Amino acid sequence: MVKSIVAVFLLTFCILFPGVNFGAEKDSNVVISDSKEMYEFVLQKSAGIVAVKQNITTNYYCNDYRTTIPIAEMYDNETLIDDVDFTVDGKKPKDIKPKYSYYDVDDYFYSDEHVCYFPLPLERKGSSSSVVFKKTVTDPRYFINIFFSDSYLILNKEVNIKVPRWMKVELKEMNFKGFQITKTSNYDKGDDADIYTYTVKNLPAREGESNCPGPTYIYPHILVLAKEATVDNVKKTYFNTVADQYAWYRQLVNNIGNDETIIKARAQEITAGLTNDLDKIKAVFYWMQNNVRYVAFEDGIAGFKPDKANEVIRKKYGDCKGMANATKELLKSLGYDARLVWIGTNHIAYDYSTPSLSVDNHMICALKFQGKMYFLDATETYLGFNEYAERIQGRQVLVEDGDKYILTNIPSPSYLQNIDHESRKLSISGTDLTGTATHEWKGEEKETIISQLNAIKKDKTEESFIRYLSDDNKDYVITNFKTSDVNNFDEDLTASYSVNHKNAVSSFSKEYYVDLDFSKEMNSFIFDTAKRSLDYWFPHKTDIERETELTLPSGYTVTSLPPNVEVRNSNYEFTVTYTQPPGKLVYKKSIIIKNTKLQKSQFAQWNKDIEKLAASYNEQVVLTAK
Amino acid sequence: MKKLISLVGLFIFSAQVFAQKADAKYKEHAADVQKEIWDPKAAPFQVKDIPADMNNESAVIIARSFEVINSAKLKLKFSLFIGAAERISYQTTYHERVKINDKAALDEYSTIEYTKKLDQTMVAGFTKIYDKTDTYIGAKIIKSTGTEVVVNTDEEVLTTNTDKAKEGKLAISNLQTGDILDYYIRIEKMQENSTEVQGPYTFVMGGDYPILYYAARLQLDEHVGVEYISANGAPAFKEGKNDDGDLTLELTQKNLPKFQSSLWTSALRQYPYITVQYKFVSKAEDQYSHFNRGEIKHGFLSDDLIDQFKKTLQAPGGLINYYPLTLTQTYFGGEKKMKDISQDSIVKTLYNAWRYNTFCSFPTTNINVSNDINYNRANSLIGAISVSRMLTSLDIDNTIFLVCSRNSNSLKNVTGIGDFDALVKVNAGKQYWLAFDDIVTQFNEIPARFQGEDAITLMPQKEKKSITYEDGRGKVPVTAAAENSIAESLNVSFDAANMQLLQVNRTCKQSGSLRHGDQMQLLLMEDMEASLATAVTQKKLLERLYDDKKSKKLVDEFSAAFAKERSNQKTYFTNEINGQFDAKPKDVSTYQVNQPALFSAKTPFEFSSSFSMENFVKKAGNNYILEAGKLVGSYSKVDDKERTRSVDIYMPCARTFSYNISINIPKGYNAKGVEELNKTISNETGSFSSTAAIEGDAVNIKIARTYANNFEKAANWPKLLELMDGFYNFTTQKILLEKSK
Repeated sequence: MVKSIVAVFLLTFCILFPGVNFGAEKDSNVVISDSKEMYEFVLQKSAGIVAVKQNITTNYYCNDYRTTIPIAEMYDNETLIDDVDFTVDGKKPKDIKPKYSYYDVDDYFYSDEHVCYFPLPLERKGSSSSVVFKKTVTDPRYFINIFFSDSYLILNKEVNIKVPRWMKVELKEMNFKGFQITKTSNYDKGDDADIYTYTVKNLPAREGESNCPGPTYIYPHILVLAKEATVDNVKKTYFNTVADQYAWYRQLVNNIGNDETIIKARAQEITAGLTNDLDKIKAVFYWMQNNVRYVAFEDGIAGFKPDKANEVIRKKYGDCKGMANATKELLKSLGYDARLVWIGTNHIAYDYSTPSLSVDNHMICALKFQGKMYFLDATETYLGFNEYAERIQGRQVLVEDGDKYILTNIPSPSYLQNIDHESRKLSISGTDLTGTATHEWKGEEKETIISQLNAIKKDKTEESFIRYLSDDNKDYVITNFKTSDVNNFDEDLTASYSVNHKNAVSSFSKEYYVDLDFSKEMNSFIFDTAKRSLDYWFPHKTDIERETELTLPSGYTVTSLPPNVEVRNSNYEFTVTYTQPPGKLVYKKSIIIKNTKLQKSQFAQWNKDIEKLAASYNEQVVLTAK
Repeated sequence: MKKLISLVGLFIFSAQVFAQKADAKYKEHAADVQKEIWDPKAAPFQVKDIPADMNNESAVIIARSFEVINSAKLKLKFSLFIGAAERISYQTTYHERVKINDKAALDEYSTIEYTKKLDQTMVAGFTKIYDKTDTYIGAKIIKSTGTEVVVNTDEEVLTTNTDKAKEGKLAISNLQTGDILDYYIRIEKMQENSTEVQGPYTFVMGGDYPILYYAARLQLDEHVGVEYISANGAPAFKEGKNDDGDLTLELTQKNLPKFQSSLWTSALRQYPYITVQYKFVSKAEDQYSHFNRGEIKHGFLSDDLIDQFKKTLQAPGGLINYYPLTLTQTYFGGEKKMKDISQDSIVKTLYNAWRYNTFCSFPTTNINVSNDINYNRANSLIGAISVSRMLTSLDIDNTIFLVCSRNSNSLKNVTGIGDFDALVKVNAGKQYWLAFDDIVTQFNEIPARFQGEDAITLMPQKEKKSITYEDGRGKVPVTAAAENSIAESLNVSFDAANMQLLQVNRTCKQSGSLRHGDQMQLLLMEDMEASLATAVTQKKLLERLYDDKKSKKLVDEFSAAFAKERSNQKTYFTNEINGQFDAKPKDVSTYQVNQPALFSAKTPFEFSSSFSMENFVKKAGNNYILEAGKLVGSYSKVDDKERTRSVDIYMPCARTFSYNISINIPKGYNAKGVEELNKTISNETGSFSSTAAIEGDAVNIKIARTYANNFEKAANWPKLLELMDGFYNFTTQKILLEKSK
């Protein structure tokens, strides 16, 4: 992963302080009564750098009953904590000492994230405790945004940003709509600086919800774009334009020091015996996916500079930069036009119209081949060539182009990339449904299954796959199970098997009652509109199709069918149909997610549409003896 | 100033040189360690092929060894305070060679995390008391071609990097599926004046992967005392002495199969393992330690532990909290008046006073009355010792029972006092049991996990100025199935506006060990505190706080915290319903605890709720199908692969479940298929029966099922399966509501 500046949101206040139970803190017991933050661009002449000094004061107020809250402040190679001070009810507690430690970020092998933390008591109802952090960001490039919200309701907050006129900065206001935020500015003649003041009132606490957009989409904040500084008539350019940002990246990747001989030898070994260009390209890409494991590493400038390609190939592990660079160099050594690509995944709201280190958090490889640009992301271990993960689909990318750069977008394939199709042929045997089934998966549906199967021990793979297909229903017995090669993700994943669904048929008097939908996808997928406050993002687009052909028992006829369903709009489709060719009953269901981003305003309609689907699920086919 | 700067500069330079030297020394020793471990080329660690029938295993442990070498020597130090310091070195080496067959195993073995350095040396005046640990790691990969690649351990990252502590992490480079990884971790520890027990080290004769070769070796200083047990058929060490007089313990095993998980097992009672611990014992210490200098003890260690435990108990003083006794005396109007009170009344009150004191003491610096604290557990040893002392002081005949949980090691395999739990049996006219467990455990209730267990008994004898203990053996009784019960009553009707929505009124009565989970989930601490306070004639918390000038100001705050917790109670009931039916209720309209059952086994814990449920009723033309079997809650069918079994069955307790379900037949419909719900199965492991009939406008179903015992031999598994399958089949039953014609 490319160094992510929004790592602060990875800290979820889960650091444990022995002997102290914080309980659930997302309530009204603690609020931030007032908070004052000062950010000031300063010239540190001795070091010859422009730094950003921060002074953040937060007063916590106890509304109902005494408690202790966790205080945690992140720091890293470029952000230093100069001082921390705190008081409890106006007094400095002697028995509380801040601790400084490495912060283990989920899914990262190593990062330079550190945390300063300590427990802060709120001694009684109506008391206040206060914390002051003084920090320095040693390079304005790394000072990228100021978030206003916190884990607690903020009653009053003032954010001051002091920008000397020798410093050119753009402050971009993000997600202010709907919040009580006002802005004023004034000029400090003494320091020849502009001071921008944002006053915030009654800002709700941050609320985590499943599958919600990333923080830069939802929380009010200022995107800080440090453009240039002019000191003593010498201009220092940061990211005035995207060209500046590219140039900064470029100087990092220009001196990686790849060993071309080793790389070429490995590329030839990988493609030995292949003559077709596309086969060679795929062989390289799949070799990377199969042999180089993703290990997230983020350490200062190393968070932006890829490891040498020959080292990634030797180590058989790398972060996204290392894997992108190795993919590029292997392809380049075979004569293909491969390039590095900087990209922000869909977790980030920004694009390169706001040049900043906050725009991207990922690196992949681009390949110009036969007049078309392909994007290769070897960190997506089980996605085939020219298939794209939702997290990068449609995202703007910065593509290497010598001293210039190309801004383009990743393709955004339709739901047809991600297929999950099942077809069953069944007949009634007593109270069981028996027959055969075939299943086919493509794209991210295939990737989801293969990645889960590969995380399971080899001797349990088949058992786990069957459990998945039977939804762990012991009465849905699968035998004669056959699949395509689960390690070949260049091909679609397929499975075929015999099914005996026990007790699936109810028999009363002269009638059979049959449920032809076994899987009932999205059956209870209802949003609680009173509780859910954020949009819902599906993991990926999808095309789920289920078809069941039932051979009617002789002497029986269909006397009642569940209702058909037809819901079609630009975001999703649900359809259910029953047809009756001679001697058969054919059930078809299709659930298509075309747009993964379901807005809160669409929840009510979604719920109504799910109810139509559920109504169909909750009705059975009736077969009556003639 | 220049002088100062140059001095500072010199200091920094010296520190850097020192760090470089230390680094060089570490690397030099690391190279020696590597040579020592890899050079001997022991045959099991040279194997490159695994048996063909193991190719489908995720990984195969080709060889695993564990070695401990310990030695001690005296080092004279010039200190008035510590005299001659004993310097003890501990060297532990874990060495493993593993064939990686898939990505799951690759992921598991791809990283090593370790404490590279930990220096806890203390400085006392001019003398240092050393306590240093250094860790050395090494890894090499054997490719399928036979090529060996040594992993560069300099590629480690240090997540902590100070002079005193270094935490390391190494991603194993060049590792792929199909490779063999041969790695070791060597820990070298040096301590002075330490009397720490080393271990316990547990060697399990099996694991997640098959093991072709397994070796353990301990070479321990002649002044060490060693204790070990071999559990569940595990072999003994080969004991001996080397030429230097060191004690040696050696074990070699081959072809250990991987463990398979099963329903209702007790791993530490069923899988073979060895636990070993040792301690450097000085001559002076030899007299009173259960570790005997220069000796290896194998097997039942409890007797020695008990001797030591008794000595500790009999020693004068001790930190016994006598507040429960004070509360008891207050309850009866003073110590003198207690002479006229029956002993069983005193015991009962003392036990409730202990519960009140243990579970209802709330810190006033940080108020937390959330549901989490309902799950607090007491330390049973401390509880038993304290209450036994108080009972003895009241001349009430009592015995401490030291037991082990059925889910843990057996009594004969304890290696330390901490492995014991404790109960107290009281003879006060009748016999009563006191358990020191959770807030809802009642007087005379024995937690299920101790039932049927062998125990070591300690009977206190009151002397003039002390208490001595006479030890013996005993057994903890087992409760019958009827004493651990859940009885549910459900009244089910179809929503008038939506036939596919069920309206359910449910009342649940729970007794014995089956009630604890829901009691702790549904009861509020505020209510439990009030009940327990009342039981020992104390005012409830808010009243007590109000009565004291100093604490009066806390009343508002505790009231607010209690109110907040009370507002969560609906969520707890919703979660309970969700857990029972594996489906969230659409709505919960009423909920209440009818009987908290904190004191007497005679009155079961009782709660009720009214809620609506979807997805239980399917429309079928003009008719409806009710999945009636699901009304008893979700129940899983036993897996096909679990249907044959060779290990014995450890169930939580003998238990009984009963359900009384009344389904109101909506007007205009007839119920069909009710007769299919009648079923009876009975065998020596328990019974299951269901009877159903249409009575007026209702279908009434009665279900009863019983597991007769908490333990069954594996041979009885088919009989248990018969019961479980019978009940599962019931849960799949449906009733047709046919539109009247």
